[in-house]
Order: sequence, then C-alpha cells, then structure tokens
Amino acid sequence: MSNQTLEQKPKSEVFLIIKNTLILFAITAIAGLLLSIVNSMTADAIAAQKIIQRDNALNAVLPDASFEEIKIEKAEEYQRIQGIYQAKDSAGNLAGYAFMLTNKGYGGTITLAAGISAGGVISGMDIITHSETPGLGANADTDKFKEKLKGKQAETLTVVKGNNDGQNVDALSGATITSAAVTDAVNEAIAYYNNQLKGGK
Amino acid sequence: MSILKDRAKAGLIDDNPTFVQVLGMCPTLAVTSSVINGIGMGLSTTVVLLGSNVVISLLRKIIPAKVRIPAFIVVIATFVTILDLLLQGFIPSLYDSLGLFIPLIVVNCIVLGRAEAFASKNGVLASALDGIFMGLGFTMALTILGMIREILGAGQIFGITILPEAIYQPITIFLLAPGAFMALGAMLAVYNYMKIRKVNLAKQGKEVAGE
Amino acid sequence: MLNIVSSSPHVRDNASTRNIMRDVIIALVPATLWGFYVFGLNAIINVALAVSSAVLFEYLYQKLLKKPITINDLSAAVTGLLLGLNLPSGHYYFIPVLGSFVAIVVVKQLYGGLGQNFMNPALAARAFLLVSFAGYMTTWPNPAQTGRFWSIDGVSGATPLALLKTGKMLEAGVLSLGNEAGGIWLSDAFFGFVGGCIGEVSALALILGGAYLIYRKIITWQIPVAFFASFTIMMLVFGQNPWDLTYLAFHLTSGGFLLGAFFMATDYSTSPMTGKGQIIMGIGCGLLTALIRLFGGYPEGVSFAILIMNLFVPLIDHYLVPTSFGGKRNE
Repeated sequence: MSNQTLEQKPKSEVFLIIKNTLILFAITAIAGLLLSIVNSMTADAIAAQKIIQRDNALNAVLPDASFEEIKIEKAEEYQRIQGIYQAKDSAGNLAGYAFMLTNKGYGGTITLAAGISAGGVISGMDIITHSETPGLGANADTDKFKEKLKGKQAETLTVVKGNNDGQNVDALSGATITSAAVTDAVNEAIAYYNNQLKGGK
Repeated sequence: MSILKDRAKAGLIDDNPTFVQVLGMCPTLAVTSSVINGIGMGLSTTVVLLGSNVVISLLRKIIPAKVRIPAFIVVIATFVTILDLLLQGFIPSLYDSLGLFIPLIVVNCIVLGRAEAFASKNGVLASALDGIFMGLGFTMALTILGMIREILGAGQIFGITILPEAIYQPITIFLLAPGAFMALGAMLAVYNYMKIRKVNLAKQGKEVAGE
Repeated sequence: MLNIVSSSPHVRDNASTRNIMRDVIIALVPATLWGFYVFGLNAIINVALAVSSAVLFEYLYQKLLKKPITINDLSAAVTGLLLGLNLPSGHYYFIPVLGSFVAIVVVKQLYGGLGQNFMNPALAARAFLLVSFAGYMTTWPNPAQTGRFWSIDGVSGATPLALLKTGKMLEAGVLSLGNEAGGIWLSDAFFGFVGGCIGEVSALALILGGAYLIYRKIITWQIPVAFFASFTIMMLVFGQNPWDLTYLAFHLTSGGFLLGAFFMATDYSTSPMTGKGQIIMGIGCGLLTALIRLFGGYPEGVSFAILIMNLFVPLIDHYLVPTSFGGKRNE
C-alpha cells in the first residue's frame, strides 16, 4: 500500500530509509512506553504472588510456620541449594529449616523444596517444577514417593530398590535416575543442616 | 451484520487456523496435555490476536510496506508481554502451566498470518472480528485436542478423574509428544471426512435438483 | 526372494506370503514354547490374545472398508505372535489387545496394508505400550524366583540388563544380585532362566529359530551379522566393562537383541532391498542399540533402534537400488 504512495511521489532512497526507520522507531518507542507502564502496574502484584507461591511451597514441606530467608554459607560447596529459609512457629520458636533445591534429573532440572524440623527429622519434600517422563520419573511428584522421604532422620539417605527401611529410600520403579536426583538434592540439604545449622549457629 | 457471520464462519470452520490452515502447530502440540491448558492457551492467543489485529488495522496506512514485518512483530510482542505480565500477576495458576509457552505466542504463525493476510488490508471492525473468531477457532481446536489427550492419557477431564485406574489404565503416550501427533492426525482426518461428505452431499443434492 | 530388487509396493501373491509367514512361525516355535514353559499360564494367555486379536483386527478393518480379506496370508498372525513375544507375562490382559490394535490398524492398515507400512508393526506397538505403560512393561516375573510354577502372579525381578545398567558387579561369570541371595549365571541367560519378555529370554531358542530362517533362505545373513558386529564392537569399546567378554556375552544373550536381529530387523517391508543396504541397516541398529543401552534412559534399546533404522530404509534404498541400464535415477 505505501509502495503505491511512494510510486506517486518519487523521493530519494535515503529519504525513504530515514522515513521507514523513524516510523519503526516511533512504533517501538510507543510499545516500550506501554510496556514500562504495564510493568510498573503489575510489578507489585507479581512480587506478592512470588512470595505467596514460595510460602505455599515451603509450608508444604514444613507446615504451620513463617519463613525468613537466611544466607547460604560456603555456597560454592552446596551448588544444589538455591535458598535456605529459617522457619518459626506461631510462638516464635525455631521450627526448623526449609531448603529450595535444584538438581539435574532425567528430563531436565528438577526444582524441589525440602524441610528439616528442629528435631532433625525430614518434615517433607515437594517437587516444584520438573520435566521428567510421565508414568516414570514424574511419579516423584506423587504423595506416594514424597511419603517415602518424610520422617527420615537427617542423615545421608541411600536409594535402594525395593527397600524403604531406615535411611534407605525405595526407588521409583523404572525411574532410578529421578529417584537418585531427588535424594541427592535432599542429601545436600541434610549435609548443610548437619555441618552449618545444627550446632546452634 | 454479514461481516460478523462471514468472519465467524471463516474463523471457526472454513478457514479454521488449526484444521484448515494448520498453523501454530507448536502450541497446538505442546500445551494440549489437558483441557484447561488448551483453553488457556487458546484464549490467551485470542486476546493477543484481537489486540494485534486492531492495532495493525489502525496503523495499516502508516506502516511502510518495507518494514511491515518488524513493525507487526513489535506490536504482537508488546501484546504478548503485557499478557504475560498480567497473567503472572493476577492468574498465577494459569501462568504456572502455560508460563513457558506465553512468550512463544509471539512466533505463533496464526497471529502474524492474520496481521499479514487480513488486518493489514481490512478495516478495524472486520479485523477485530477476524481476530476474535480466528482465536476462538484456535481455542476450539485446542480444547477438543486437550480433551482427547486428557481423557486417554490420564483418565481425567478438567483435572477430575472420570475413569478410575481400576477400570481404565491411562495410556500415557497421549500426554507425550507422539500422542499429540496421533490425536491431531485423527482430528484432521475426521474434519476432512466430514468436509468431503458435506461437499458430496451438496453435489448429489444439486444433481437431483438439476434433473 | 530378497534378490528381486523392485520398488515398493511389494506385491506378492497370497501363496508365497503364506509360505514365508509359515516358516517364520515355525522358526518362532522354540522361543514361544520356552516362554510358555518358564512363564506359565500368563504367557500363554498374553500370546494367544495378541495373535487372535491381531487376526481379528485385520479381518474387521478389511471387512469394514470392503477390502479383500487377507488374514489367510498369516502376516497378521505373525505380527500378533511377535508382539506377544515382546510383552512381559503380566496380568493386564488389555495390553496385548491394545498392542494388536496399534500394530494392525494404526501402523499397518492405515498406511495401506502388507508391504506398505514403513515401520515394523509389532515393534511400533511395543514402543507405544512401553512409553504408555512404562512401569508395567519393564516389570518382569522372574522365573528363577517363581520356580517356573504355573502361577498367575509372578514375583517381579530385575533382568540382567537392568542389573548391568545399574553397575552391578560381574564376578567369575555371575551377575551379582547385591544383597539378594544368589546371582544370575551366564548359562541362565543363554538357556533362558532370566526375567524378560515372553519370547526373548532364551538365547538358544532364538539362535535355533534364526538359523532355520537363514537355512530356509527366508532372511539373508546381512542384517543379523552387521547388527551383531557393530553392537559387539560398541560394547567392547564403550561398555561399562571394556574388553570384558563375559560382560559382552550378557549383553548379547539378554534382552531383545537376538529376537530383534533375526525376526524384527529383517522384516521385508521395513528393511532395505539390497545386501549393501541391509548391512548399513544392521550397522545402524547395532550402534543405536548400544547407545541406548549404555547412555539412554531405558535399559533396553533394541526395539527403538530398529524403529529408528526403519525410518532410514527409504533413504538407504534410494541411494543403493541399482538403476536398470539406460534408466534414470529419480532425484
């Protein structure tokens, strides 16, 4: 359509390039302006949502507590730990610690939360995001598997097929890699708890 | 009002983006593992289509032909980003399941296709209607596909178990990519079968009337 | 039969197809009977369901679409039999029926019937089932534990391949079961006292069947030999225990390698027409099987490897089928 307009009144090539550039620039500038307005409008809501989501996830592994993020010591030794949260119950006593963890699973990165109560017992594990195979690794995100970790002592866990006694974790059938990935991540949280937090720091 | 009817018929049936144009296959195959995801993706795309069609139709006299593609993409990307931020802030549950695919609406061929083929040549009202009905046609296809895959692959619909494991073992492959292709292929076959039958019936009717 | 080089579709009269299929069934008899013997009643039910439903689906499809009924050529029965032998002897009796539906209707008939399908129907159905019901399809009753009784619910046990994958140690020809009592001897894997799919457990029975097929000139040597050679080299060089012959022997006698090399990869409509092409196909199958077994998520890779190579067959034929004198190659 505007090719027709330019055929009607021929102008130099340079003028056309400048004109096109300016129009495109105007469109992008308006778009940028619009986006910054929307961004400032939604920024607070998004931040609030993220905290709600985080607290929901943490409460799933350490119920009835409020959380405060604490610093990760020796972060380079604990690559799988993404965040540590100190949990206080309603009376203000220490309820335990919740960990945000990531590890490489079979289908990609698994993000999970794990809680260790003040008494040194694993209070829960929850998968937050994963891309494991449905029917196999994805079964890690079922209550059946989560229950297998719950209540274990905060000592190193071992993945064993067909045995869930003591510190053994019964592997999901056909999904040893996923089971090991989740357990290894939880083990790192346990190691951190034992080395950095338990001494009453 | 004929333009409304015309656009509705084109978007939902005759030019259906999925069944006839076979555009936007990436979201069609990737997000339809459940009904709710299909509806969510379809409606999100509809919103973007409506916005981009209206704006591009309004700007059709201003945008120079030589830079129209980047201009279209900027308009589309702006709407997608706005939608992305709004969903993230206010409908987090939908954002969780669609999150990764929302930015991909930018490269959904349906949106650019309608901008190029329709909005840049037609008035604002017609373009708006075109956006809405193309979006709804897309939503319809994604919803049906999501339904087939969720029932077969998980025994559920809208996340509610309708076929318990005692009587039905979910065929997990329908939740995965190969199952998406199979279900889509079957849907295209049914659509074409019905279309051919309609044409044949119409032909027979004409012959009868002619004699 | 295979020396005739022609472009698809491969039209054969009913009688010759029937003769070939009858020989394939004869060749599968030892493996089938052995599967019945070690896995008992459940194995018989699974195989019977797979065969009968495959024939029934072929009949119904052809009846419904008013096509000539070709169940007398026995090809549907062979597909059903191969599928049944590729299943675990479990108790989900809808599995063989659903598998036969996928094999016969989706993979074979929708693409035009015998000779037109581009994938091995039995294997494609097995892959469909494996992906859909991964847990069930990888849980095998273990004959060593059930004592080969005629039991419906066998105890599930790990196969040699699963043990090799998890890095269980090999000691003096025995695959250690770790904390469990006993171990798996190489002779168990050779004669067929291990867990696995119904028809794949006995290496001896499969070798007998394969030898019969080659003797009767139903199949040629190229695919099995090339498959064997490339797989062996890959396993010796890149395996968890490089240059360990016992380790290699476990890999050769366990899982679907022999069943795949003799009966699956050699399927007429999904393998190359020339000897050279068949060697390429065999090498590809061996490489892919080794890659999947060593680095993939599943312990077993034979079926996926053959399916992937099925897709290359048209390309292989395109470059290797000789043109007649004065003829022009289609480019």
